[in-house]
Amino acid sequence: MRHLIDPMDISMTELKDLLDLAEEIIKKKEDFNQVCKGKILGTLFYEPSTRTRLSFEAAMLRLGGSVIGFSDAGVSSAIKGESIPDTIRTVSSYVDIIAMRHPKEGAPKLASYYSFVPIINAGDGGHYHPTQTLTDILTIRLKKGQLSNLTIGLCGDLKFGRTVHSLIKSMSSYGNKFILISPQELQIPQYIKMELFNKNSSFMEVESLEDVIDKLDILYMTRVQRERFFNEEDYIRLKDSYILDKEKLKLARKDLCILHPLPRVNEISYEVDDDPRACYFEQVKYGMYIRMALILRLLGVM
Amino acid sequence: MDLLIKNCRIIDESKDIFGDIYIENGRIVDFGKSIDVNCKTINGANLIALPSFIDMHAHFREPGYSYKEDIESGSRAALKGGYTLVNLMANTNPIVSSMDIVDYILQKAKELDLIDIHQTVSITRDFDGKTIEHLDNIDGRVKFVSDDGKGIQSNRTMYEAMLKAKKKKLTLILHEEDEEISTFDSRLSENIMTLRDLYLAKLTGARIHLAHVSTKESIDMIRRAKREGVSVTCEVSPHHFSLYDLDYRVSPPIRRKNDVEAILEGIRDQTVDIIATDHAPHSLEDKKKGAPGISGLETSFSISYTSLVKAKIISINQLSKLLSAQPARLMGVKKGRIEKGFDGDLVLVDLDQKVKVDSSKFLSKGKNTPFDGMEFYGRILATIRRGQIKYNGGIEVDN
Repeated sequence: MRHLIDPMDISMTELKDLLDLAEEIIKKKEDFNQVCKGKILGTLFYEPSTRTRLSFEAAMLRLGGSVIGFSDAGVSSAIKGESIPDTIRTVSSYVDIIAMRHPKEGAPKLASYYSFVPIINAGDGGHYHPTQTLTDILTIRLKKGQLSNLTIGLCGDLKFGRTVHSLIKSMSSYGNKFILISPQELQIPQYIKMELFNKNSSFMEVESLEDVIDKLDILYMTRVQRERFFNEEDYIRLKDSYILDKEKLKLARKDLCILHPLPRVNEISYEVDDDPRACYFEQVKYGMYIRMALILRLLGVM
Repeated sequence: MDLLIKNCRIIDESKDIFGDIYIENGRIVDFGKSIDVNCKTINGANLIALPSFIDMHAHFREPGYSYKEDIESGSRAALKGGYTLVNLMANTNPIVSSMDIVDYILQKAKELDLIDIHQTVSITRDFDGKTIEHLDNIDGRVKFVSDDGKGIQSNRTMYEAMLKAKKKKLTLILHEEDEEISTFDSRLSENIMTLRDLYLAKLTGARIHLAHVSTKESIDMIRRAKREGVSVTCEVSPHHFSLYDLDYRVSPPIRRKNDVEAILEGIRDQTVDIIATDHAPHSLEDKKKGAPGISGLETSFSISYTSLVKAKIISINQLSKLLSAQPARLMGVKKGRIEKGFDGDLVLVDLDQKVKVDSSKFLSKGKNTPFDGMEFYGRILATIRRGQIKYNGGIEVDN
């Protein structure tokens, strides 16, 4: 039985297959709307994440399946205090596949040891969020028609942003250049740099988005949070440099593709939303399609 | 001087990219793309270009002990080791307590035109452990003061020196050793002085830099002091993070395995600011008589690369930061990174090549090393200072 816990669980061949399937679903939606008839997805959300949960639920419903689950561990007294193995053994007796979100790192991994059905990690604390990474990769392939030879800018909090780490790890296997735009305090961790070095992958760390925006094929924005800074002065000095607005976008290429894992706060100005280069709402949609493809493959339906 | 390096992998503290590097009039004017200029050219294919290394802590023994090392032999050793800027300690003969000796050394370095040299002045006059009035005569060319080789025993002297250094905007490089205690317990000797000086630095607000930190306890104290906002930086030497339980005379001594582990953790979490060689050349006779020290400039990079990057402790970018970018910041020079406008000081290395340490081939007069016969990764193929190839270890140059 296959689970998806870590984005690195998927080989490059499997990834290509998933992306191909997602594209096929997008092209022929009606061919897929009954393929999971009679199947049930369990959504075990130990912390609220409405977007991710709705995306999974919509994916399953569009495949003709059904959904049960909870979205806040506090709601269910049965779950409260019950061990993960017990909950998983119980729920996996009812459903065919589980999407699990948990505030603790490693909880979905633990669940996978006890589950009778495939587990999809829908985010475990600061650890992994593999379906977000799949979403990002599908969006890049659909918008750019390729996954290699791109200059990918990642901007904002690169230290704590787990989706950023997974995306860098995945995209570095395809021969891309990275421009890492962040304040000193929020640069990517050493271990990611060690991986980039071993993969012969090019990267450059810079502090200013304006200096490099003209070089980018992809701009992946993330939020810079006030509480990540050591002092207020640095935050005030730097906060505006990590906000994408029309002014900065004037310097960018016409075919730039702007991505964001959402939700955003203020790091992309609303005025940017109308720009054809803003792809983050399409990205949300593609997230549902890649989850459909994933559910199909893990269930072995197609 | 103009120089073009074609098709190399360009790595510094914040980048890892492919492309060319063009140095014009000694400064980097462009890099990271295809550049075509008609000038002296190196084919950098399969090579890595790093900013050349900067050593905050070396002893060149001149004046006074030129039989151990002199400024020329030391500079050539530095270049072979990938260094183009070295900060020299004051324990020559006479001791560097006045600007005329500083002038002599800097003038000599200028005439040789091999590497850049900064000179440290002693904290106490002639290392007498108490007089600090000479510090009033120091001019802006000197940024560091140190009695390295000796600890400052008097608490009062240390306290007053810190107050004076703060006023003069000098950084004190501190050799932490209590002479009464070091005769029977070198660990306690280092730790107790580290504790004292961190406290005094906190009290006075002076900027201090702790030399060759070697114990777990010192690393822990420095980590804590940094969190508390003490103006402290520190260095570690390659022999202190690559060797343990070895009886080889060096001060401070080679420590235990858990000290090495603590230093590696300090390197990983950036408690450690820089790597410095503490290059301390001696003649064979002096070494036999028990002179402490290691001739370290020519082995520093390959030992550091092998023990830190190959061993997966840190990234190559972090190593470049420790060897180049960070010492450049501490010394206030526009070097240590591959950026437009920075000095064209580079090393070309092959990281896959093994080097076997052979002290008989050292360019330093000091052949004293515990690493003789050992093998490490990372060969230095050329050292470039302001666009001039100052050391060529086997690259072809197209004029």
